[in-house]
Order: sequence, then C-alpha cells, then structure tokens
Amino acid sequence: MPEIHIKNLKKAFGDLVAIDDLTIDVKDGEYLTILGPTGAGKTTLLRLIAGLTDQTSGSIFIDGKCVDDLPPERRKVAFLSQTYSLFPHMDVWENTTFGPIARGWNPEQVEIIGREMLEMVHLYDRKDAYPSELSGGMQQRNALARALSADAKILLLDEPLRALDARLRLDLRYELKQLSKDMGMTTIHVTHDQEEALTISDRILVLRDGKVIQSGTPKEIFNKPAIPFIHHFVGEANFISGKLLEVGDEYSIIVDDDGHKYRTQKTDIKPGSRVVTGIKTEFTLMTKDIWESEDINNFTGSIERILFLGRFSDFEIKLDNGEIVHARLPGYQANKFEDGDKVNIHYSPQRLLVFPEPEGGIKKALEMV
Amino acid sequence: MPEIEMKGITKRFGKVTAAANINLKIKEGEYVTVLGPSGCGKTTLVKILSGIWEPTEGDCFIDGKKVTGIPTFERDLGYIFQNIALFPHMTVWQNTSYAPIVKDRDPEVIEKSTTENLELVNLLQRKGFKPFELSGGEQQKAGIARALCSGSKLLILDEPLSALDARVRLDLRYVIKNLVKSKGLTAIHVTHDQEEAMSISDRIVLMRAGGIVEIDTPENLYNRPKNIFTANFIGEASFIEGRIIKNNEDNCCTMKARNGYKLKIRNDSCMMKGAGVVIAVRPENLFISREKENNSIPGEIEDKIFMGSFMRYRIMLATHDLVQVEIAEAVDKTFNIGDNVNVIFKSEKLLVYPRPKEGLQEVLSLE
Amino acid sequence: MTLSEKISDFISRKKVIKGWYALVIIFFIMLVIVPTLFVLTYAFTGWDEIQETVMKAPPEIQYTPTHLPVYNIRFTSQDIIDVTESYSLEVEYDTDRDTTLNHTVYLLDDGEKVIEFQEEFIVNGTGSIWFNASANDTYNYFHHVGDGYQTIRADNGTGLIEEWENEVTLRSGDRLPWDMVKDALIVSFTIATIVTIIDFTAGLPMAWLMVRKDFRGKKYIDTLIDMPLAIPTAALGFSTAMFWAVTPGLNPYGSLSLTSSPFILVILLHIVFSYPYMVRSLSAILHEIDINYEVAASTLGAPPLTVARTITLPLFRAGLVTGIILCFARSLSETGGTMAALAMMSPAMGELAYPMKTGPTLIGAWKHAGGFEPHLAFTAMILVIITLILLVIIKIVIMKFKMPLRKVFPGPERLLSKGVFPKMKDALSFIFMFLVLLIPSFFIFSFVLTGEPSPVDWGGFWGAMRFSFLVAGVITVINLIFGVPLAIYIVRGTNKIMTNILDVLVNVPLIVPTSALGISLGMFWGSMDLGMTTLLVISAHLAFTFPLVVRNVAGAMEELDPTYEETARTLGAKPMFVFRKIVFPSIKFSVLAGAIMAFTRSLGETGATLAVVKEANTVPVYIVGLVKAGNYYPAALACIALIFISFITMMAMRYMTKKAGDN
Repeated sequence: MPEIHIKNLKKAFGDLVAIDDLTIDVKDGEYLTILGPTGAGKTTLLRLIAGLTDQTSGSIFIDGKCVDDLPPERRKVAFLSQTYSLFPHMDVWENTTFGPIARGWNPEQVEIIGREMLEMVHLYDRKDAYPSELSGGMQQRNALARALSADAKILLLDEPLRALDARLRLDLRYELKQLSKDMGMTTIHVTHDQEEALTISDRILVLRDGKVIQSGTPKEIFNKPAIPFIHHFVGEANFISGKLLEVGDEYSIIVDDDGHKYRTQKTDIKPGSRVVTGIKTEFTLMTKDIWESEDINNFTGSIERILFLGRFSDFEIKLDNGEIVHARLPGYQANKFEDGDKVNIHYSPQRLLVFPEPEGGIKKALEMV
Repeated sequence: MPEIEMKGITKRFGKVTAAANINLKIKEGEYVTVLGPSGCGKTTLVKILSGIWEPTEGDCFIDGKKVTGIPTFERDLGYIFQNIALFPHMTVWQNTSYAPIVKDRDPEVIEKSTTENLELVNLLQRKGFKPFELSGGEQQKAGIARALCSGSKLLILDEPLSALDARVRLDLRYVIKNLVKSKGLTAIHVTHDQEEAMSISDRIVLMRAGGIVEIDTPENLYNRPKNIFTANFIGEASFIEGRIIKNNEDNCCTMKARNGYKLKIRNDSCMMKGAGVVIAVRPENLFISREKENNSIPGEIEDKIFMGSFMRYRIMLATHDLVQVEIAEAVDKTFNIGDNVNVIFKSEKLLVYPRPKEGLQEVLSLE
Repeated sequence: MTLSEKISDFISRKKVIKGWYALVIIFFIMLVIVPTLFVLTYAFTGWDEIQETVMKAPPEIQYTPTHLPVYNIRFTSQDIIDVTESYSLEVEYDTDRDTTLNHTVYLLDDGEKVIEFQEEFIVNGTGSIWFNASANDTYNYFHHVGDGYQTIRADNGTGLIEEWENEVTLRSGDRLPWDMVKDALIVSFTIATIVTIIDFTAGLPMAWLMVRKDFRGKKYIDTLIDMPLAIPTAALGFSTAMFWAVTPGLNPYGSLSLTSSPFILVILLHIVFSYPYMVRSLSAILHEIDINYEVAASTLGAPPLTVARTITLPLFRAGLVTGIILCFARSLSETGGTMAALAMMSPAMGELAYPMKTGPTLIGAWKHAGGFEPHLAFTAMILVIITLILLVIIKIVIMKFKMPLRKVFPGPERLLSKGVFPKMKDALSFIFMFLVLLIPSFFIFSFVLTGEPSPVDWGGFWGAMRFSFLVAGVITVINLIFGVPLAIYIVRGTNKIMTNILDVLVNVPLIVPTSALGISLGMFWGSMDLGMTTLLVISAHLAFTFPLVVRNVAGAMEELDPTYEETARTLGAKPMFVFRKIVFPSIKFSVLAGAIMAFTRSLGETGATLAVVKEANTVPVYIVGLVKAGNYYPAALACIALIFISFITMMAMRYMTKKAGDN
C-alpha cells in the first residue's frame, strides 16, 4: 500500500538550501497539504518525491522500498504540475492514454482505462479536442485524468488550482479531494493558499525555508499554531509583545511595553520571559456600545476601514492608543458598523495564544520570506 | 477630478467580440471594480480606457472630454499591472520617479513626490533595490508607488493581486484601499476574484462574455443579486429547482422541489402558479437540525469541512440537490458525516429566480 | 519484447545516454572546434617561417625591359611602363571560342624553372585583358630573389598555343607582406564596423515596425526582408555591383553606376546580406521584451521616443550583442560576393592587383596563387585572434554602457514622437529596404533580360552544382546526427559548467571568418595528409554550419517547457519514448529549419571553400570564376539558377519556422 516515508531529506542548489533535513511520513490514503509561502521549497519537495531531481542527501521510501535510485518512470507517482503540462500536440484522448501506452499496456486495456478516466472527469465527449481548445477547468481535469490513468497510487499536486479563476477554485477543490479519495490515492498537495489547505486536507504540513515548522490537522494548525508566523499565516492575527507576568491555572497575565496588562490563555512558559500573544481576527469581538467594564482585555477605538467580503467583513480599527488592529465579523453582525464608528474591542483570554518572543521581534517573524 | 464615461464601447478581434456595447459611468472619487471570469472582456475595457487599445466602436470620456484617438501617454492616468512590470533595469527609486521625470517636473518636485509615495507604501528604505531583490508583495507596492507618482487622479488596477500569494493578497487589499481613499482617487480595478472585488470597491461591474451582467454595490450584489449568475459568482450559493404550486396572499408562495418536497418562498416578482423557479441560498443562511422543522428538507451529510472559525457541511438533500451549510464554531453541535439531518430554509433569506430556459448549469457556468 | 522496444530500452539506459552525449561532445570538440582554431598553433610551430617570409624585408622583382615581339596571333600586348616600380601589360584578344590566358612568373633556380606565381583567365570574343602589378603592392611577396621569366600563354582548346616570354629579375620592394595583411584587415574591420552601424541604425526602426506595429501587408514585408538571405552572396555581389557601381564593359538597363569606389561598393554589398540578420535578431529580442514595460512607461506619461530610449534600449542589451556580433561576423567573413564585386570594378585584372582587398579576398587570392602557406596561416591567425578579442570587447562595452537614464529631454522627445516624424521614420525604413536591399539583390534579372546573351558552359555549371549539393547534403546529415543531441545536452544537461562552456564554444565557428576557418581546417587536415579535396571541403562546411543547427534546436529546446518531459517521465515513459513522443514533435520544425539553414549556407559559401582547397569547384566558386573572367552572361544565368534553388528551400524554411512558431 502506498505510504511515503521521507528520511533526513536535503536538497541544496549551490549555497541555497531548498530542503533542509526533512523527515515526513505520509500514511496510506492520506490527503496531505504542504502549505507555505513562495520560496519555501514546496515544489522542490514534490520534484524530489517524483524523482525529477536528485537529492543532496537523505532517502525517500515508497511502500517501504527505497526509491532513491529509481528513475521517475519506475516510481509510479503521478505528478500534476502547476501549468498542467498537457502535451499541446496531442488531443484529450492521446494525453489521457499517454501513460498506459508508455508502459506498454495492450490496446484493449488502454482503451478501457482511457475511457474510464475521461468519463470520471466528464471529458469523454471532448476526447478529440486539443488542450488549447479547452477552458482552464477542463484542462485541469484532463491533466488529472492523465495522471490517474498511469497506474499510480500516489498523486502529487503542485498548486493545482493556482491557474484558475478565484470562483472556480472554490468549486474545484472539493472535486479534487473527492476524486482522490474515490480513487484511494495517497495525495500530497502543495499550495500557498491557507484557506485551500484548511478546507481539503486530512493533515497540513507548514513549510518555511525548507523546514517543516508544524504538522497537524487543519483544526490543530488553526487553533494551536506552533509559532506566531503560522498564527498569522493561517487566518490573520493581531499581536502584542510584552513580558509574561504571572501564570495561573486558567489565565496568564502579560504586560506590554506600555505597562498595559492582558489576560491570556494559560501557558507553560516561565513567568518573567519575553513573550508575544496573538489573537485571530475572527475571534476579536467588536461591539458598538462602549462597555464601561474594568476588564483589562477591553479597548476602545474607531473604525478606519471596512472591507466587505460577503459572509464576513474585515475591519481595520485604530485603537485609542494609536495602534492599528484588525477584526473579522460575520455578515449579520458586520452590517451594523460604519466607517468612523467608535467601537469596543474585546480579546477573549482563551483566544489569546502565547508564544515565546521570536528572535528579531514579532514583525520580522511574520515576514513571508 | 476625473469622471469616466464609456459610451457604446465595442471591441472586436477578428470574429471574436471581446466587449459588446458597454455603457458605464464612473463618478469622481469612486472605486469601481470590473469583475468576471476569464475571457469576459474586463481587461479589454480598461485597456481601451487607458488608450492601449482603440475601441472598434464607441467612445470613452474622461472629465467629459472625448479621449478616443489620444495616445496613452497624454491621457494622464496611473496604471497598475497584473505582472507588475517594474522596469527591471531601474531601482525602486528610479521606477517611482519615472513619471515626474518624463513629465519634466522640477527636480525638487520629483524628489518630494517620490519620497512621499515610497513612504506611503513603506518602501523608502528599499529605494536602492532592484525589482528582483524584492518579494512579490513589495514589488507590487513599488508598482503602486510608481503609478501614484504620476500625480494622476485616475488609477487603473489591472488584476493587481493575481500574481501574488494568497496571504499577501489579503494584506495588500488594505494598502490599496487606504491609499485610494486617502488620496481621493477615482479607481477602476479589474479582477476575477469576487472576494477581492467585494472587499475593495464602492461598486462592482459584473461582466460575462463581453457584456455587463449587473452593476451595483458589493452589499447589494451579495445580499440581493438580481441575476442568478451573480448569486453564484459573488459568494457561493446552493441552488434548488422547483415549480410554484400555490400563491399565498402575503407575497409568498409554495414551491415544489424534486421528490415532492415543498418549500415556502417569497414571490416578489409575482410569478404565476406553475412557473419554473430556482432558489439560491448562501451557506451562512442555511441551518441544520436533527429534528424536523418548519420549511425544511431532510438530507444526509456528505462531507464536513473545517474552515477556521466555522464548519461547512455538504449535504445531499432528499431532492437530490447538494447544499452547503456553514455553522459558526461557537454554535456548532458537531454533526458527523453520514448523519441524517434537516436543512432549514428561512424564506426571507432565499433568493428566488425564474427557472432559466437554457438550463441551470448553462447559466451558472463559470467558464 | 520486440526488437524496437529492446533498442529503445537499451538507448534509454542512463549509461548509454551518457556515453552518447560524451561521443557527441568529443565529435564537436575534435571535428569542429579544434580544426577551427588549429591555425592558432601555427604561432608556435611556424613562427620562424612567418618571421622569414611575412615580417622580413621581402625579395625583389626586377623586370628587364624588353620589347614585346609582335606575334601574328590573335592577341597583342603593349604598354610596358616603368617596370621597376610597376607595370601594366595589356593583352588584346580576338577569338571565337573559350581561350585560356595563363600568366606565369618563373624563377630560374640552378637553371631549373620554378613556378613563382600563376594566374589564369578564360576569355572569349574580342577584347583586352590587363595584367597589372606594382612593385610596392603586388609582386613583392615572391619567395625568392633572382632572375626569371614571365610568360603569357594562350590556349584556345584546339591545340593552338601562342606564347610570349619575357625575362625578369625579381627584386624586393619597399613594403612587407605584413603591410598587405595589415591593409586588408584594416579595410575588413572598417567595413564591418560601418556596415554594423548602418545595419543597426536602419534595422532598429524596421524591427520595431515589424514587432510592435500592425499594418496591412506586414507579412509580405516580413518575407521581403529575408529575401537577400535566399541569394548566395556571390550572386548578390554580382547583382549589387551591377546596380550601384561603375562596371567597365557592363552597363545593363537601369544601372545607377554611381560609385567607382570599391570601398563604398563593398559596404553597400555587405549591408544587403547582413541587414536581414540584424532585423531578425532585433525583432527576436523585441518579441522577448514584455510589452507591458513599454505600456507601463506610456501610462506614466512617456512619449514613444522616451520609452524607446529609457526602457526598451536598456532592456535590449543582451540581444543587441547577438545582432551586432552576427552582422559583424558576417561582414568580416564574406568572400564570394566581395570577390565578384571587386572583379567587376577592375575587370580583367589579376586578383592580386585589385586596388582594394579585404582579409578574406586576400586569403582567397594568395591561396589561388599558391605557395603562400606562411602568409595564409599568419593572416588567418591574426583574423581569428582579432575577431575573438573584438567580440569580447563588443560584448563588454554593450553590457557596461550606461544609457543616460536620468536625463530626459521631454520637449524635443515629445515633439519628435508626434505628427510627421514617426511617419517619416517609417517611410525612410521602407525606402531603405527597397533601395538598398531589394532592388540591388534582384538587379541581376535586369541584366539577364536586357543583356546580350552569350554561350553558356552548362556542363561546368552542372558539375559544380552536383559537387555543391553533395557537400551540402552530407554536412546536413552529419549536422543533424550530432547537432541535435548536442543542442539537447546544452539546454538540458545537468553539469552547468560543461553546458556553459559548450554553449560558448558552439558560437566560435559562427564568429570566425570562414576563410580563416578554411585555412585552419586545411592546415589541420592537411597535417594529417588525407589529401582528399571532397573530404576537406565537407569538413570545412561542417564546421561553420554546425552552429546553425545547434543554435536552432537549442533555441527550440529552451522554449520547450521541461515540465512536459518531466510529466511524461512520471507517467511511465522512458527517456527514448519521451524524445520520440514529446520532444521531437515539439522541436521538429526547428530541426528542419536548422537543417535547411545549414544546407543553404553551405550552398552559398565561397570563402571557406576557396581557403581550404584551391581546386574545389562549388557553384559560388564557379560563379566568381566566371565573373573574374568577364563572362557575365553565363555567370548571371548560373546565379539565377542558384537563386531559384535557394529560394525554394528558403520558402520551405520560412514555412517550417512559422509552423514551429505557431506550436
């Protein structure tokens, strides 16, 4: 059964280390997403697994067998490149049956698998069309049919939705996952889109500078990010840096550089250390009436900008102390607010996650590259 | 301050009509987004407005002055490109100061406006960098500074965020909207991303196949779309087809969906009994319950998707329609895949359209 | 497993592929690069000889004034002028058939006659022919000093031989052979520089028009620009000289007869065949430059002229190098056309006596005269070294040269970008193309249609044709077998250092003037003493056409997204299967285009052929011979036949490259 085991994998291009001592296990039938900003080494990792480039050191095992010395055609790994790479001089049918023919299957088998795959992606009636005559979505489906017809049990997807219109992407990501599950494939999907990653994966692996910085289910990645970068990358977060004052059973207390105190979730960090605390903008509570409460997690400010997003709106709020924070509210709440409104912001302590202060400050830690 | 008007703009490339008889008026200081799927003619529109292409028919007016035939370099506008197109052989500073230099401004003015605009996008400390030394987001910020530095009050943004990472896009939306509003510019923004369009604009022009489908504010297009294509394209929606079987007095009627299930819907457009009808509903406007409730249809949960602060359920209704339901994490009572549930339709949240003659799939098609 | 599968399997093995690449690289180094640059070794092995013969005070010639006997035959001679300085010997002829006139200078060496110099002309009809020489210019590179004879012999093929003999003393002049080399090279490089500058100035607006503008009839203009490439340079030289220059004894209808300066004529000629290269390379880069940069500049308020100067030109650089180097190298190495043109301006003169020589024509003349090996090696060596150095300098200068970026001249540039000026620029581009390029190229037809027909030796023509096609055919096949894998290796090879070196080396035979290359090859293979004319000609043509195939295929490979091949591999295809099904179908038109280019270049080449062996009889050499002998009408017919053949292949190539571009 197709499991992938990657051990101490390293790939360097001259001085540039693209993949740095990576160890990953992918379970049979798992849908794993590799999420990271441009330049994180995501595509390089896929190319290493497919055998399209040689690693500097380390090993890759598929089904428990080391494949380091196997050329790509013997790894039985289907690879879907960002641009789909449909062969422009072949029609849909020729593209789809390329794999089986290359592997020397007999004509009846080729006929059967070609038809089956094309029917599965609803392209059988377009089998005589050339790639240039297909729309973006059809091209993607054709490429998928081609990849799946080649007798592979592992599917590597390199940003398969990037070339498509935003709206189309929303529909196709479900189809993609469904297809892969129906076929019983083990899938590795590379993307820079955190929403895409959250919605389709069994497990997400966050990659940055060639290293895995967190691996977990979408829920874990979203709710328990390992470092501030992930907190901000998957969703968006407001951060406060300061010193950890005390750690209680339910809450911790943090004091920021201006002396203001905040109640945050409890933490294992030693009191007295420098920390940052951050809250996702989704969990930032905002109300119109100014609370007269003494709660230290309450602030007042005014709305600077509203970005309407349909089911949500994003707010940019200037707090009274001059700081700019963001909040995201569902549509039915958001429509009560207008530009310039005085508002009350509340950070719920359970949602204020605490991290040790990253080296070089929080701003640098959040940079995408 | 610029005011834009397009009168009967048509553009043909050989036999292909990219834009057909487009009429559009943009007020000064307005932020208008032209939204639509690939190949709908949205880019054609701004290329014609900026003089990069000439229209086959029709005229553009800027500030009431006809600009047809006037070359781009004399039209006085700022243009932001999808592929950014920073001059690769020039530094950030040289790129930004290009417009005032070629417009022969005084050296002090050049110095001042370049500094000012680079500061606005937070790139002054990178002024000596060449474009390739910047990240994608920074490059587009430099592109924005360069366009603003031309001093024009009209800004054209041609898919400015498409080439960037998803996360970077979110940050730049704020940057762009703040700049445009604080400088009081008139902006035309082209995109295929409905979320970007909603977040950034005062009005959206939704295009499809060379024609305008609907023009309205983001709120109206999202909450009260007049066209069924709009309902699907701007924000997601689930659709259920049926037929009106009874008209009630209170502006409502009863619709019969497949397999005999009935729903009470509004009938603002006074459709006759027996008329074919389609309802569209946004995921956040549907609710689920284990018990049978008023105006609900039973179904089975096919998939459950974690989306951060809420859960999305994909439910196959007994009417063989697939609907998506979103429930905030706080109120989610955790339903599981395979559970039999009732999906509750609130008639005031349903969008009602006559059933299209061409067939639903045809009308909704995104490509 | 079938046999073909077994073969495919075998070829797909990693080791076999590696071995094949190694073989191809060895072929390239040993058969192309080493022979091309072999002449440089002469600096070590033959330096003494060069010192002795080229750099040292040369031997003397002395003509003893004697009266010419008046023969009762059909040619007479007269006018011996001051033979110690120079002399001019006219032979009148009146014959009804081809008669060979042979001018030979013998030296008496221990009483034995040694041929020191020889030239030959075929004459027909009535006329006169001049044997000219000046002590300071021509005959002062004899190897020996002493007494000798000068003979002129007429042979009309019926066994009737007339002979005239005169005693001479060979003595040294004031000038060294080195001075001749120097003069010729200065002429060559000056011409190349002027031609390149004119090409660039006239070519840039044209390239701009072709890429950035849309107008009716564009595709016809596009075809017309390439026309001169379809015509072998020997024919071009013939045609161009007829159109522009004062050509004694030849004045076809419509001839302008504007110049009697060989210098100007050669410049005009070189522009004709190098201009298309310039326009093509400039268009290619313009295509590459994202038009959005220019659009961006114009949205920022820059008028077109400012855009061109501040945005397009600086982005141009890398490609500019290609265009300039191509034109420069083409002008520097052209032989056949220049020879034909010079011969027409100084008809019936020994080619060593022409008032102007370029590097390649000097090599041709010396080779033709025979016995000048050290001179030839020396000239070729200098030519190769200067060319390579100069090209490096051009590259550095263009890459380092800074455009005045900050300086903008908004007023004048805005003015010049509007109204009548752009139209004038466009009109001038078209006028230049028609007047300088097309009319001179096809002027030969005017001569054939209006001129006096004279008998044609079709046998000789077809013989030359057969030989030319044999050579061109053989080199095309070899080029394909070795060129395609080398191109693939250069683009896809994993050893980047190796591929970069090969990439540079491939261009060397393209840049080195072909006559120098011919000398070098002749020396290399001559040193192995194979002694077979055909093989020598083939190997010479192989060297300078090889880069054409490699460049074309490598260009197509670069265009081909490697993810196609990678995807095919992941789908289970072995390397050979990938090549057959994915790579070859994508590059086949470029392969064909490369092959046809190599074929036509081989067909039209004169310099390399003449430099490698003097008896080789290819069509261009045959044409140049006819022109030199003043047999214009047969030369013109031969030209037209060659134009016709090249034209068909050229059109085929355009069709192929179009196809390749469409895919």
